[in-house]
Amino acid sequence: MARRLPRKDAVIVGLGWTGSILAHELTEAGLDVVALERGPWRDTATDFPISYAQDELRYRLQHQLFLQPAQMSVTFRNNASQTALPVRNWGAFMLGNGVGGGGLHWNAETFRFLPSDFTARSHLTQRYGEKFLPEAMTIQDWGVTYDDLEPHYDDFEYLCGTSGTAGNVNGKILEGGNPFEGARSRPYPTPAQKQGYGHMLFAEAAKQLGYKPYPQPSGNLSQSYTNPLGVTLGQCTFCGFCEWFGCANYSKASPQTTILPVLLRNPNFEARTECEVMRINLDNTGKRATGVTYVNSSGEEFEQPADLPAVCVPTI
Amino acid sequence: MYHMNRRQLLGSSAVALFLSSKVARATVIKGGLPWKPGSADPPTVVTPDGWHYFTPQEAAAVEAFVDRLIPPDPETPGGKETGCAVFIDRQLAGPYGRNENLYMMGPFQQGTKQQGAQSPLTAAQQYRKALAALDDACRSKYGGKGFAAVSDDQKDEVIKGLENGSFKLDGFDGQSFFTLILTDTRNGFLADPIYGGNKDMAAWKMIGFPGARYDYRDWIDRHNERFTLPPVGINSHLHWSK
Repeated sequence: MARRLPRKDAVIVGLGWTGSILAHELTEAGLDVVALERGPWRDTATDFPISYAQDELRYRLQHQLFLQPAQMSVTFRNNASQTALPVRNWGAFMLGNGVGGGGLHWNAETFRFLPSDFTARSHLTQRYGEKFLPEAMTIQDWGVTYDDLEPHYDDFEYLCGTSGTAGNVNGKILEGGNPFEGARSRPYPTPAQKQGYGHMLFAEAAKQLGYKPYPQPSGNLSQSYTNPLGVTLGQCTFCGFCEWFGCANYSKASPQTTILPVLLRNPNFEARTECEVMRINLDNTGKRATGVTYVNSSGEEFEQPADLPAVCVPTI
Repeated sequence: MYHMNRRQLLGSSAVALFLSSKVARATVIKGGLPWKPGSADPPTVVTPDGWHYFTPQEAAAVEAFVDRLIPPDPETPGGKETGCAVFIDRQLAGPYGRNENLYMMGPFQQGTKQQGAQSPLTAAQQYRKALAALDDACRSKYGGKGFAAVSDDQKDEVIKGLENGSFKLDGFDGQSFFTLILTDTRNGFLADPIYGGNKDMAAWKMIGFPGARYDYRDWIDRHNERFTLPPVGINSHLHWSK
């Protein structure tokens, strides 16, 4: 029998990038917010300090910052003629776990989609004809356009301090950036990262062939930066322990390095870790969510009533 | 129920709050970033104090095996001297050996290659079983000699046979065992020396990998220049004494 808890305005399921951003927006708007995260609290000094972050065995091979299959896994098969079997050890994909989610150990490659990506169906049929897309293909237009999202792309890049070279600012094409990108309202908040030898060789060769190489927009910052929330990130040192790893320099944009220091100080906000949400509860019309039910690490069940459950977890 | 005053009192501590109705054996975090001295989780350094998992016979077989996978040469010590067998021993004695992080609930059945390993045995159990079968198979083929006792050429014959499936082990799949021990040997060779292998960073020196160094800002513009600084480990540096 689930124990019913005092009501909150909003309950956020999963405290990764989307959960942290949403929690911040809602608490700033005055709502009482609780975030439920199935994994543990994680932070730089406790989980990947500079004294031992550089551990390939632990973080790259034994996936210590990820969800462990022992806690939760999925079954897998390539087609319906096979018997689905448990994924006992991750291979092709693995799921983040813990506060920060995948944003804690991502490579921080921060591309924007192209304007045509948002109107994929229209774009492809206009360009290649009505018969181009096979019947069974489910590509659609998104329903939001690049222009709708541009201010929010800008917000995210300035939250992170994304390092890059703009190629198109308000329609003006700029040298060194991606001339094919959607127009942005202003340049990146920090300059592009310096590039290594291999990268420069590739760029030179591509340029000579008539292509338009540009530096990858990066959430590993080229210089120290203080974001609009007042949180400061450090400068990337090209250590190489990036994907799979937490950053010991505070130079990789993550919920920890951009939002959580501010979010946690808001008295309207509470995080509960090691709590796994099992279902979203609906009222008797079946059309309105009333909250969620979750278990803690002892297996005890709780009902968290809230007007606004927000599901901020990966879809697998 | 907790009160505003109590939260302010607690300041920016992470607390496991026990609410009056036994609600929380989760960790509740509010009022600031959690901070508690001594709550980091550094790796445990492996110390050379005998075998923690292997029996003497198993240890002999594994030391022999890793020394054929990575034979010593005039420039670089081999798998045995660099501690690959020690690494594997300590790993098998710990969470890796117990498959603690893997999904180990039944039922078990073999699947396609894409569905990955489906064995009910932990890594530690696999080694125990496979090494016993290995020695038995060698004794049958090589006049009563276990794996560690046969000649290097014969060892190589066995290893190739395990890899291509021609050398059979009774009750265990030789190819799976080959893949397992090769992976663990590689990991032991190249992991940080704190885990018992890669002794004195020999593997990193061999491939020119700087190890646990963390700052290349002075080097990023130095294109096509050899990196000259010696490797550093989490717990190892040329100038640090043990």
